Amino acid sequence: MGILYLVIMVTLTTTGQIFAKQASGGLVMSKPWTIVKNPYLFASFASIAIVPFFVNLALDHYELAFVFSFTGIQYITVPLAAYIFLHEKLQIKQLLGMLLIVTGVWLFA
Amino acid sequence: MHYQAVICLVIANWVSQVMADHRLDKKFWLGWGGVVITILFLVLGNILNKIIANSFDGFSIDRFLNPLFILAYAVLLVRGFIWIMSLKVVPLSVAYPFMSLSYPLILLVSYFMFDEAITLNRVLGTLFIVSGILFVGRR
Repeated sequence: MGILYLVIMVTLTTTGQIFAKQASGGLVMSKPWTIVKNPYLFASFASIAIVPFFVNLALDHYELAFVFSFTGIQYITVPLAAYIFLHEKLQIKQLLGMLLIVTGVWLFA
Repeated sequence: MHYQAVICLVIANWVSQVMADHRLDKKFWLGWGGVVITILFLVLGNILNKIIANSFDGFSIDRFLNPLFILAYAVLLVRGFIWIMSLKVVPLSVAYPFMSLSYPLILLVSYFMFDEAITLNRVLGTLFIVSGILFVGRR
């Protein structure tokens, strides 16, 4: 059950970031309705707003140090999701970084 | 003298030098103050989260209406705003690597406050995660 909370935590953060990027294209600061009427912005806020609840529940099952180390996985899922859904480029350097993060979290587990 | 003390002195000397150089620079203090507060709030939010998790088990309304949880939530929320504000002054590529300092900080906090172990694996894991984040964040 604990791992499910961690997976939800990472997934919601990732979708929140992707929606935030989608929202940013349509935002014009001088035109408030572009902010109020932006569905992506609401989706982004909603995803990220639920995350602390799942972090809290995950802490029932795991030590703080491990749960926090697991948030490092976001730095893998966000660039990957951006690559798949937003067609952003991935650099070799970033893939290397992802490998380092996975190794780091694995060392924690 | 222990080498830890020497390292601390060198860092303290460097920090005070930088602070003295920017004595009258309002933007510097607002921007970097914001970055430091962002990191501290992130750590604080996680400490509060763990304290709550230690006194509750499983999903309940009480748990999430608990004043401590609301405080943790508020701290994490305010952190987001302070972060965005400080990015107006400090470039993201400079501020971002500093955020990975939260990983060793959480490791220390979990040791001192929650009696969690600092093992060699965890120290190495932290180093791997921090360097990984530095690689992923394009500079």
